[in-house]
Order: sequence, then C-alpha cells, then structure tokens
Amino acid sequence: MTPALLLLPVMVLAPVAVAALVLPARTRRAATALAPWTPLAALAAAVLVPDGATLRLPAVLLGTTLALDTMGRLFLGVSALVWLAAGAHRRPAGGWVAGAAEVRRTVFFLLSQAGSLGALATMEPVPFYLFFAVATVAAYGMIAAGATLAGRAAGRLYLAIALFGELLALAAFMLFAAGQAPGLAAVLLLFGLGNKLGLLPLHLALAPAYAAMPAAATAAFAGPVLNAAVYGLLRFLPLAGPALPDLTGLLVVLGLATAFTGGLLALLQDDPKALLGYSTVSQMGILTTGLAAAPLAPAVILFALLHAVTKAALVLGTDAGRRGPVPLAVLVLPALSLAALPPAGGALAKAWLEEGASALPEPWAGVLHVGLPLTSTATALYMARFLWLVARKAPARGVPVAPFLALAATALAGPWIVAVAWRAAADAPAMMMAHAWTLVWPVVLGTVLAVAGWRAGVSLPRLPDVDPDALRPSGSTAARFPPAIGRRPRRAGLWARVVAVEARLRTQRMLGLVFFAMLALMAVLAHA
Amino acid sequence: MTHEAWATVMVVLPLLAAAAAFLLGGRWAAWAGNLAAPVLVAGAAVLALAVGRGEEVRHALGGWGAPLGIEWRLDGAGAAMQLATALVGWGVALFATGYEPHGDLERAPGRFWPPFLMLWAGLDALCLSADVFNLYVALELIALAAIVLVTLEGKAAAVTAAMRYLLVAQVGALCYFVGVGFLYGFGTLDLTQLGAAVRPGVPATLALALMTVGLMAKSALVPLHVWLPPAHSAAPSPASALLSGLVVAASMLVLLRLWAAVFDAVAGEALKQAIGALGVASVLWGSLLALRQERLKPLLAYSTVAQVGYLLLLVPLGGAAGAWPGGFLLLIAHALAKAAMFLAAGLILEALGDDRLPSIHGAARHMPMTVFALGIGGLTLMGLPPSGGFLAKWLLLGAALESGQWWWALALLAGGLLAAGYVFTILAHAFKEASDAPFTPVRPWMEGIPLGLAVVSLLMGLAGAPLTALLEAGAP
Amino acid sequence: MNWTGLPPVLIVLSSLLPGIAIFFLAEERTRLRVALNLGGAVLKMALTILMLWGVWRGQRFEFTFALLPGADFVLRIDALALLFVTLSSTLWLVTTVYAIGYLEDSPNRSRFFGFFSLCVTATVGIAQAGNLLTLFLFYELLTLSTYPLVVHRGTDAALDAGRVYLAYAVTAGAVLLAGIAWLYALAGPFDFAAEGGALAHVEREHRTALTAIFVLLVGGFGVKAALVPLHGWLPRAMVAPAPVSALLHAVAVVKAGAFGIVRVVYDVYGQTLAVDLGVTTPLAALAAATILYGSLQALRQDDLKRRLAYSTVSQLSYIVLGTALAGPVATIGGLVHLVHQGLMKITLFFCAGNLAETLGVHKISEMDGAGRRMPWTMTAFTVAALGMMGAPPVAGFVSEWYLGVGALAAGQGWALAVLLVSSALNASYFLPILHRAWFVERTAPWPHEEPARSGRLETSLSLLGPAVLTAALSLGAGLLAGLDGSPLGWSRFIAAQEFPL
Repeated sequence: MTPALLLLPVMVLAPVAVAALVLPARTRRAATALAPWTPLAALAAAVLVPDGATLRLPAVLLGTTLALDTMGRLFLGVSALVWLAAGAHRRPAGGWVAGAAEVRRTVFFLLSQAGSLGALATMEPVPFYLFFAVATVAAYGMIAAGATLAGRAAGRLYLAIALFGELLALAAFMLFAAGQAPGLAAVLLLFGLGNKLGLLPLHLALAPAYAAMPAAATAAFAGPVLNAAVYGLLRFLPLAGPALPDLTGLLVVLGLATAFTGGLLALLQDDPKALLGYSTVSQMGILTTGLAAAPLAPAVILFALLHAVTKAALVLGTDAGRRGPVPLAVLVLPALSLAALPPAGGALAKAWLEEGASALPEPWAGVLHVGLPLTSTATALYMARFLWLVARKAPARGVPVAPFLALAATALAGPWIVAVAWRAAADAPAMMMAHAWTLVWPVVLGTVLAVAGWRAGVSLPRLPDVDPDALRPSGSTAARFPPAIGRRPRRAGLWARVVAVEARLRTQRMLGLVFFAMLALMAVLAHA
Repeated sequence: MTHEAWATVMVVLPLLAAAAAFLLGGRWAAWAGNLAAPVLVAGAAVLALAVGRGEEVRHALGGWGAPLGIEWRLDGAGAAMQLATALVGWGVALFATGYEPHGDLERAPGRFWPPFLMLWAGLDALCLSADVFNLYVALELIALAAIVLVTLEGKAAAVTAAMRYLLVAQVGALCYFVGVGFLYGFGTLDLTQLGAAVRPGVPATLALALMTVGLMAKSALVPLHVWLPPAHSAAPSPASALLSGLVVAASMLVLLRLWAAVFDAVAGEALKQAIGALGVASVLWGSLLALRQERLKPLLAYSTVAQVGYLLLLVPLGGAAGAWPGGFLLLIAHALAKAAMFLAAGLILEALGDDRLPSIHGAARHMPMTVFALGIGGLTLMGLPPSGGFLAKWLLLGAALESGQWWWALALLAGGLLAAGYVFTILAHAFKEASDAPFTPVRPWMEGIPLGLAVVSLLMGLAGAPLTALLEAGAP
Repeated sequence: MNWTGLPPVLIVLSSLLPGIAIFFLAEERTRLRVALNLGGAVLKMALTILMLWGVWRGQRFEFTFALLPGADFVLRIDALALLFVTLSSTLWLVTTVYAIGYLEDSPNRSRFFGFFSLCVTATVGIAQAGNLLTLFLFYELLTLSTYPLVVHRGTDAALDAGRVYLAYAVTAGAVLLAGIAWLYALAGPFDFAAEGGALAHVEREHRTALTAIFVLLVGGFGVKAALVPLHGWLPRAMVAPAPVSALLHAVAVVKAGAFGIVRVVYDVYGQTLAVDLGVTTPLAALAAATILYGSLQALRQDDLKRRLAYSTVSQLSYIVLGTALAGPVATIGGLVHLVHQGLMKITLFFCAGNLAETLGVHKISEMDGAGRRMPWTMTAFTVAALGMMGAPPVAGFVSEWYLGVGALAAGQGWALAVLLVSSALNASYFLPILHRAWFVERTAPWPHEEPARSGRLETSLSLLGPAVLTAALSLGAGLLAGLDGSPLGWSRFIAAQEFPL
C-alpha cells in the first residue's frame, strides 16, 4: 500500500469534515475559508494513486475497497477540476454562508462533493451505491436550500425521481449480487442511474433543478454528480453476456428520443439555466446511444468528461457572461464545442461515437447515422438561444470570470490533451477528420435556422412554471407531495399539446403511473 | 414433636384460642389469635414437609383405627390445603388486628376472633379427615363459623345474605349426610376402604348424586352459586378473605376427594363430562357476571364462583397425569390470591370509604402496594406466569390435551381471558388519576399483608416441583 | 449447577432486583432511585459484554430449574439470545438515562421505574429462554409489566389504550399457551435446538397438528410483533410517555414478538420442517402485507408518534420476512434488522419525545423549522429516518441489502419488490418531515416551549445524549458492518450455526 492511497479516503472525508465545521457558528469562518479547496485532495489522488493499488477496508459497510483505474482516474480528475471551479466561482460571490439558506447549501455542496468523488474511487456496488446516494440526496439539499417555492417544488420533483432511481439501482445491484436475472438488472440499472442523465421518461427533474440553484451549485450538479452516474453505468452495466437480452435497440431508440425531446424542450426555455438542464438531457441521450456498443466505452468516457467540463463552463458562463462582451464572446466557444463543431474538443468525442455506430447491427447503425448529426443541429439551435438569453440578461459586476475561463479553456483543449495522452483515444483525431462533413453541416444548418428564426421573429411558447399554489401546506395533505405541479396551458396547437403533455407528466400521479408502467414493461421484457 | 402431636395441635390449638378469645373479649381477643397463628403456620409447614418427604401422617383418635374408630390421615392435598389455611389465617389474624378499630369491624370489637378461630379449627380438621363422617362434622363446623362471620356487623343486608347462606349450606349438608348414610351401607366410612368396597348400584348412585350436589351447593357452583356473592361481599373484609379463599375450597376438597376415592369408579363417562360442563358453566358465568359488577367486593366474589368451577374439571380429567396436582395447586393458589385481594379491598374500603369502582380512581397513586397486591393476586386468577395459578393451568391444560379432551383446554383458556377482563377492569380504575376524592391514609404495614399473601401465591410458581411432589402424595 | 449457570440468572436479576427495590422507594428519593436504575443497567451491560466474549469463544451458559416435573425453566445464552440481550441491555441503559431526564418532577416515578425495570427483565428473559415454556413465562410478564407503563398517565386516552393493548396481548397469550401446551402434549418437553429445530423426533404424521400449532404460535407472537391484522394495539399505545414508546417499539414488546417468531421458525420447527410444512410462504406473505400496510397507514398520519408507530408495524415485519424467507442470507437480514430497527426506532422516538417535551410539538405539521431550533435532535432524527428508508451508510441499508439478496437467493423475487416499494413509501413519509424540519422557515411560535429545558443546549442533556448516542450507533452499525463485532457480524455468526455448511 502506498501512502498516496490514503488520499482516497481523505478526499471523501475532507469535505464531510469541513461541512461539519461549517455548522457551528464558531468554526464557520475558518471552515468557509477551507471549503473551496477540498477537491484538491481528489485532484492529487487522480494524479498520484498508482494503478492497481487498492485500499481494503473490510470493516466498512459490507467490505469496501477503494482503488483507481484509468477510467476512475480520468473521471476523478475532471470531477475534481469542476468542483474546484465551482467552489472558486462561489467564493468571491460571497455566497458561502450569507444567511441560513446559504449555510445549508454550502453543507450540501460539500456533502454532494464527498459522494460524487467517492463514487469514482470504488469498483464495488455497495460502496458505489452509498456514495452515489450521498451525492444525489445531497444535491436535493442544494436545490431546495433556498426558501423559494419554485426551488422547493423543483427539489421535491428531483427527489421523487432520484429516490425511485436509487431503488431501481438498489434492486439491480441486489440482482447482480444474487446472480439472477441479469437482463432485468441491466435495465433497472440503466434507469436507476440514468434518471440522473435525464433519460426519458425520467427527464423532468433536471431543468427545474438547474434553474433553482445558483450557478456554482448547478455546475457541480451538471458536472461531477452527473459524472458519478455515468461512471456507474460504465462500471456496472453489463453490456454483453450470454444471459443478456439484446439491449441495443432499447439504447438507441431511448437515446435518440431523449436527445431530441431534450433538445426540443431546451428550445422552449426562457431561463438559460433551465435551458442548459434540457440540454443535458439531450446530450445524455447522445451518450446513451454510445452505450449500445461495448467497445465504445472509451468514447463514452471522453464524451462524458467533455460534457461535464463544457456544461459546467456554460453554467458558470450564465453568470460570467454578464460581466461584459469579452466573457460573452468566450461563451460562444464552449457552446460550439457542445455542438461538436471541429476542431473544438466536442467534435472528437462526437466523431468517435459516429464512427462506433457503424459497428452496430442494422437497422441501428443506419438510424444513428441519420440521428446523431441531427442532434448537433438541435444543439446548435438551442445553444444559439442560450447565448441570446444570456446576452439579454442585465450586466452584473463582481461576478468571477476566472473559473469560467479556466473551464472553457479546458473544454476546448482538454480532449486534445486526452487524445494525445490516453492511448485508447489516440485514433480520435483521425476519426474527426474522417467525419468532418457530418460534423460541420448540422451545426451550420442549426445556426442558419437559428438566425433565420430570430430574424423572422418566431416566438416560442413558454413551458408553464411550477405552480406555487400547489405547494402551500394545507391540512392533512400538507405532509404529502403536492398533488399536482403544473397548470394547463391555454394555447392550442401542436406546441401547446407538447407543453400540455409535459405538464401532465409532471403531475405526481402520472409520474407514478409512468414509473410503474415502466417497471412492468421492463419486467415483462426481461422475462420474455 | 411427633407428627401425631402436631396434627392434634392443628385442631385443638385454634379451638382453645377461640375459647380464650370468647372469654377475654374486646382487644384481648386479638392476642389469642395472634399467638396461635404462628404456631399453626409452623405446624402446617412441618406436616407438609413430612408428607412431602413421603412419611405417613396418621393419627387414630383414642387409639382406634378405621373402620371402627376415627382416624386422621393427612394426604398431600390435605397438607397443602392446611398450609394454605395457615398462611391465609395468619395474614387475616394480623390484618384483623389492625383492621378492627377502623374498618367494618368497628362496631364489634373482639367478636371477630372466636368464629374465625373456630373456622380455622374446622378447616384443619377437614384436611386431616379421612372418612366421610368426619368430613361432615368438619364441614358443619366450618359452615356455622362462616355464617357467624357474615353476620358480624349485623347490617340488614348481611343478615339476609347470611340467612340465604345458612339455608343453602344446611340443605347441602343434609344432602351430604344422607349420602353418608347410603355409603355406610358398604360397611365402612373410611375413604380408602370405601373405594375398594363400593359397588355400582342404586345406593352408590344415590350417594353420588346427593353428595355431589350438596357439595356443589356449598361450593357455590353454578347454578347453585347465588348465595355466595351477597354473603361474601356483605361480610367484613377479613372474613370475606376467609370465606372466598378457604371455605369454598374446603367443600371442594371434600368433593374431589370423594370423587377420586369413591365415585370415579362408579360414574359413567357421560356424567363426568356433564360435571365438567357444569364446571365450565361456573367459570364462564361467574366471570361474565364479575365483568358486570360495579363494586369491588361483589366482583371478587363472582370471581370465586368462576375459579371454583375449574376444579370440577378434575372429574372428567380423572386420572390424567397432572390433573390432580394441577387442580389442587389452583385451589391453594386461588385461596392465597383471593384472600389477598379481599384484604386489599378492605384497605381500599377503609381508605376511600367506598368500593364502587369509580370510587377507587387514584388508588394506584395513594396506595400503590395495595393495588399491586390486587394485581399480583389477579395474576393467579388469570393463570399468568409465574404465579401458582399458571402452573395449575399448565398442568390442567396438559392433562386435557393428553387425555384427548381438548375442549376443556379451550374452557381453561377462555376462563383466563375473562379473568383478565375483570382483573384489569379493577386495575384500570385504580390507575385512573382521580379528582380529589377524600382519602384516609392506611398504615403501611397493613398494606404489606395482602401484598405478602399475593406474593406467596405468585412465588408458588417457583416451587412447582416440590408442591407437585407434595400433592402427588396420596393422590389417586 | 456449576458457575456457567450463574450469568443468565444474574442478567435477569440485574434488573429484577433493582426494579423490586424501586417499587418500595419513597417518591422523593430520587438519587437512590437513579443509582439503582443506572447501577442495574450498567451491571447488566457489563455482564452482557462478558457473555459476548464467552459465547464468541464457544462457551455455553445454561441455567435449568425444574418448574414442574417435565417442565423445566431454562435460561440459556446462545448467540441468538445474546443478540437480543445485547440490544436490550444497551438500549435499556440509554433509555433509563432518557427516562430519568424525561420524567423529572412528574408523579409516580417509583412505580414507573419499577415497571420499567420489570419490563427489561422480561425482555432479557425472553431472549435467554431456553424453551417455549420459559419464553412464555417472560412473554406474559412483559405484557403485565408494560400495561402500567402504557396507562402511566392515568388519563382516559391512556386507559383506553391500555385496555386495547391488554385485550390483544392477553388473548395472544392464551393462544400462545394453547399452542405451547398442545405442542408439549404432542412432542413432550423439549428445549430450543439450533440446527434443524427440536421437533425432529415427532413423527411426520402429525403434520396437520404441527401446522395448526404453528399458526397458534405465530398468532400468539404475531400480536406483539404487530403483524396485520393483529397490530391494532400498537398505534394506540402511543399515548404512553416517550421513553415507554421508545422501549415498546424498539426493544421490548414488539421485538419480543418478532424474536418469538424467529425462535419458533428456527429453533422449534427448524427451517427444514417449516418449509416442508408449507407454512413459511404464507408467513412471508403476511409479513409482506404488513410491511406495505404499515407504510401506507403511516403516510396518512399527522401525529408524529402515530406515524412512527405505523412505521414500526411495517419495519418489524422485515424481521419476520427475513425469517420466513428461509435461507441463510435472508436469515442474516432478518436477525440483523432485529438490532438495527431497534437502534433506529428508539432514536426516532427519543427525538419525538424531545420535540414534545421541549417545544410541545406533537404533529408533523407543527415541525416547521425544528432543525434550526433543535439541530442535534433533528440530526439524530434524520440519521435514523434515512436508515429506515434503507439509505446507506445507516444500518437500515445493511438489513435491506441482506433481505433483498436473501429473497432473491431463496427464489422469492417478489419479496424484493415489496422491500423496494416499502422503501419508497418510507421515503415518502419520512422525507416530508425532514423537509419541514430543515428547509421550511418557522413563522409561528412553538406550541408549548418548556423554558426549564432550554439551557446552553437545545434541551436537557439527558434527553439529547441518548438520542444522539443511538443515532451514532445506528450509523456505526451500518458504516462498520463489516466488523466481526457488528450486529451484522454477529448475525452471520448466528446464521452459521443455524445453517451449518
């Protein structure tokens, strides 16, 4: 055992300890000074912990081992980076402990950090489940910490979905442990972790959650917390095996459907952060298609890491972009990277996915060849709207710019560094060159459409907000979840129909129905 | 002292003490009783130990043995009953000493002691008796003393109740006496010899019917029970303790001995079942009525009706293993527990001036020891462990199940449930926080007496093995 | 009798004797009473630790006493007994401290603590009982010693609750007695036996009778274990003072029922015979129904203690479920939940008591902002509530994991679904409480704030300490489940004896 291994527990315990110190008024000041720097331990661990070194803790839970392999190391490094940026963004904004709500948010910020980092250093289901649960439940604290009704509603929605997800994941892990029904377990795990990715029909929570949090928390939520889920999928989802049913179709269809639904909904947002939430849904849909082919795992990793950094940069950009024209101009770069325009880093990952899609059996390869480029068009469209929304916002002073710039630079250059340094990704640049055309035209198309639409003055309908009335505690129902979150839209037409369905889906009853229907469907599928 | 000498002391000493109490009168009467009581306890213990060890305790009065003379012979059941009598008697003696100046004996200083001690003598004599005539004499002595005890206070209600008691007791005694006459036709009155001599036929049948019914009336078994509740509730509390605990048990002891020694051989299965059914009727009926009572003492009195009913199950269960010791364990445990409860009721009456159940609210706070005594006594009635009542019920249950007569097991369990119903009715009232009813403090040492008796009935459960061994001595 | 018979008796006496002594203490002798209480509790704890060490090394401790010919009173310390003894000793110590603080200056304390000690005596007796008769003895003693605790306040509501409790418990006792007596009549006297149960010698032609007896026994124990539809007494018993509820729900009464069922299935019938008779599946189904029903009812309550009570109904059946699933892994899950549920539930009741006693808060709708006013209490509550939901790293997760995997291993996947749905329900009735406490700002004054309780801490130390301690234990039991000495480690040790491989 090398001493560097101790960094693994330290990186988990440090934020927890700081969180505990934030609570008492006496130690709050000192703890607050420490708070932004806790991810350094994780960063150090990502660099220093050697491959194959394992820290065994048989007493903890049902026996725990902590270790890093290449995938873990990459995820850990990127997550630590985003946490650092988020922390740094938050610090000068003065938001750490101003008021009870912010103290709470700080505590949950740190707890979520501990969970999301710890999850990346385990290769066993039970500790992963623990860390993942800590990360996601603490994220609820970040969402709901503010006293606004919208925040609380978003929090409840998020928590309901997250907890359902946890249970599905737990069931999946138990099935794995008992060595039974691997197909069912795979599907359960896909949705159990995939709800963090916003997989249909569990996509409802992300956007309100993004909107409810301050930028720093959103960045953390969009980057590392999401990364933990992707890591879990890559680590534990058995994608091939004799006993497994073929999940290719499910993954491709589900992925593309999620990608386009997310893109569409993103386009309808007025709040740039909410827009980014649906953008995450959309991007994760793309990622899901990558899960369909086992050899594509490195591409998926690259895509996930890149998305984490890019999305975090964009989120911080919603603040930083208000500092003036220069940051706003810089914000265009990660937006283009998200749309995978070469030579931005995003293009590397996207090209790899498109290349890998050819390996799939027909008709799925064909579907992806059409579908994947079109997702870039969608991305370009809503990113244009995003930039417009940020530009429209009132300028702000005192917002930090450096963390944003650092993340943006990482988003653009990082994939190239990875491509050079990581042997598995060495072919990515060549693939980008090969797919240059299918990468470029969708973005151009999207941009043209966006500009045309803007010039033509197309107005987009708004999604209804969360209905605050439904949240007021009243009598015996006070202790329950609100019966309905959402208002019937008045406007007719296709748009309105979409909006209405979305609103309906948000009601708790529908949510429950959908869940159980999904579960039943999965059970039947796995059984057949 | 020899066993014979002790046996004599057991009967003669209380008689002497009764005479002394009568002559001395007033406060001095209590001395007579209190001096005699410990000696009698010691004597009962010595005899019980001897019987338990398997020694024979017999004493031919005047040197003439059976069948011609009168012979005292102590079997296990008798020894146990005698011990219970001694313990209850001692407790009552102490209690009465403190109770006399305050409680419902106030108007009759000293008049409690002579009938009490006579009763004691009668009970001891009954335990020692081994022939049907001797038993008759003892029963009569007991009945007379008991009736005097009921009337001590001279209230109208008490006198009416006593008159009814007298009527039933005497009719019962008469039936029994006629039965003795029929049995004498077999040439002997000694129980053991009768068992060998008796033959089925009209005389035996008549004797069986008369004696059984007579004793059932004296034991207050349904439907002949109606005299008991008024009598036992009208009596002063120390007297109630004796009546409910011991007097009823005495006639039951006779009944069971007769059946075990004589009638079991001549009776048919249907009859035994019917008698068992009567016992069950007593259990259920007594319990249900107990549940309906609004005063503490009548409630306890009805509970006696119910508890005695269990003992009739010994008739159908006959020789099944465990039935005999089980039945007598119940008898003894009940004697101690019921006496404790009546004494406790007496204290509550003294403290609160009333035994209506709503009047005892707050008793648990004012006099926790007394309520505790009621509760522990209640354990035996319910047959809950670790009380003696539980062991008894366990043995009876086992006997019922092993002899294949599972229906009696159901009755046993149902009776326990009903008992829980009325015992906890009392406790619930006692635990209820009272408003501000007037409360006269009682002396703590007096609270200790019912508690002590109740605890003995409880701890009997730990002495199951030696007690069973004792009761098996001389068992059928 | 050599010295190995002594410890079981001492463990019983260490609470019985102080309990009896306390009855006779005058009300105002507080200090002596506290000394007796704590002395007994600490002594019991010390004895328990000694026994743990002994049993781990393979020593058996047994005390036999002939109650009647052919009916022995047997106290025996085996691994399973010790699991329960340890739980009760630990929680008794904690609850005593809590109760001393809780009942400061209230009337009838001698009576209360007397019965309190008797209650624990009965519990450790049940744990150590070496045969059904002994178990029954203590089982009834438990009923009797808890009744005065339930009606302690002497109000109409309390007496009503007491009446209902008794009606259930005494009937259950009778049913149990019938079952035991029948079994003794059938099989003769026998002691509990691990590794295949004690009925191996009964011919298989008594199958019908054995099935009927099983139903009677489970019915008898099921009342205390609050199996639906025998659970009606439990929510009503909530009127009792908080330490009583804590004891009732975590240690004594309900656990006694569950433990009884465990004994019946493992050590009387033995799993082989039980499965062979086909009684385990209905039992599992009943447990599953109880799990769901309890959770659904809990969802409907606004009164905090009632919600916790229904939660107990639900959680207890986890133990029964683990037992009924009949497999080594599920067994571990059931046994370990015996301890885990105790730790977590007692924490919740302590916290509910703290809220009621300090702020006058009884309803969930009054809990807005409780987290800021009483952060330690609510932190403890949160830990325990998360555990109830099965969230790692709190102990509840470990139970759930073993139960779930055990269900799958036993080929009863449906039970896993039940567990997960129950977890979801748990979440939906605990999370709103946490949300109110932590995230909602207080606007109204507290219903009844007790000034005497508020010092430097948020409430009296003797109320706060136990809650925080048990919460820490719940967390520790989950986080360090891998240790040999953890509840899980010990449960594995037991299961290894029940299922020799």
